[in-house]
Amino acid sequence: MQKVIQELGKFPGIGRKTAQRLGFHLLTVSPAAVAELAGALTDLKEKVRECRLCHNIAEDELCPVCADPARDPRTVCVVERVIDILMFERMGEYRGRYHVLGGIISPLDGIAPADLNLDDLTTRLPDIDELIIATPPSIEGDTTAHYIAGLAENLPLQITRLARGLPMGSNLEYTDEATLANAYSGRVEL
Amino acid sequence: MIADHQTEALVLRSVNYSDSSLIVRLFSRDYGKISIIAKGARRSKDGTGALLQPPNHLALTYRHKDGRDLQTLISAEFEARYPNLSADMAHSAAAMLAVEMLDRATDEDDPQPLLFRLIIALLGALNAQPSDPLLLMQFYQLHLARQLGFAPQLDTCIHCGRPLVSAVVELVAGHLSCPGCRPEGSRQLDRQTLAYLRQLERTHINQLAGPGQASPAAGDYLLEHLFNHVDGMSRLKSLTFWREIQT
Repeated sequence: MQKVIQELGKFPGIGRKTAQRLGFHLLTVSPAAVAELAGALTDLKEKVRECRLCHNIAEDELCPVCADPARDPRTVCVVERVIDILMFERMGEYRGRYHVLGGIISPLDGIAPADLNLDDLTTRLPDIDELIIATPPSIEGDTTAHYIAGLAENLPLQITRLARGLPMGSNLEYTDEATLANAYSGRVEL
Repeated sequence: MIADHQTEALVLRSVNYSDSSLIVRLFSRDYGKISIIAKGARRSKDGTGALLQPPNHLALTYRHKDGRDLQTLISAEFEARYPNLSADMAHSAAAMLAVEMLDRATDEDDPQPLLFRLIIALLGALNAQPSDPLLLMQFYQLHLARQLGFAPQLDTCIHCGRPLVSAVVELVAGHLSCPGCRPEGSRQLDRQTLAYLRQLERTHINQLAGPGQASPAAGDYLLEHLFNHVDGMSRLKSLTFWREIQT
């Protein structure tokens, strides 16, 4: 039991008490359910790998998005992490493909362009019509976006960035001025 | 003793702590370098997490408790915004390098209002359009060295005190000496670079607006000078990217 609690406690966001609760919960479920969980965890490490094309997670050489012929291969959205793809997919409106950078340029952390999946992106650029850069709205995210735009400088493709502004259901009173300034400068005509 | 402190501060570094909080190192105008914990900042919907990122210039209120290394954030809002720092890579890389240099050059709880004014003036100048990040960074490095008490002696030989017409840079300490006193292992600093450095020393940062003509040789000398005098400066992480975009 101690070993299980110790191992569960290594997960992000899981403190000792939560680990204990999860450990005792495992005692109450059927052996088949525990075996299913253990099998899923083993499969996760054995079967999941990086998509050869976009660095998303995949069980085969290509991830489900890159393998889907219905997805537009000439529109590519550049994201920092795999989890960002999940958010886009949840949105349900995007029908293009992705490219996962595996990080963003962060000079203060010593993360340089060479540490990101940019070589593969450069190879893909000639086959792209629109490149959507979805790096975070921070100085590092902007730096990364500029760097990527520089890679595509002489190519005939449209480069766009996600708009920045007010979240749905928010109140102007509680909005910080940077967000408001971004929303103002990116205002659209009705 | 517990007291609530209000000050202007520049964010130097921000690291995630647990699932929801941030530990932030700041250089404050009135209290020097401080570290604070911002509980729940990463999950707050009011944008506090985004505020607490380098190189944001904030109006800060925090709870100070004597003897603690980590103080507690009460509130933060923008004191000034520099939106053009993100306009291109050279400007953002310069801002990051300047912030890291300041972080490495300063100690906790050691107020240095002139250094604070220097970095704020630099961010303001970088934010102005157009501006030359390389030229502004050389100004910053020279005046950072001066504020730290390591200003290079640009007018007279460090050994004989004679006026410098041209100079050599000593290998170990980075001092400037005349060719006559040339110690072993020193290298030449040409007249134009010396004249450029003197001009830079006497110029106000507001006079550096617009595109400039930065001297690469002066930049190399200034960095070497800071490496020689400030502990940890030679391990600047952001310097690699700064150099990469210069090429």
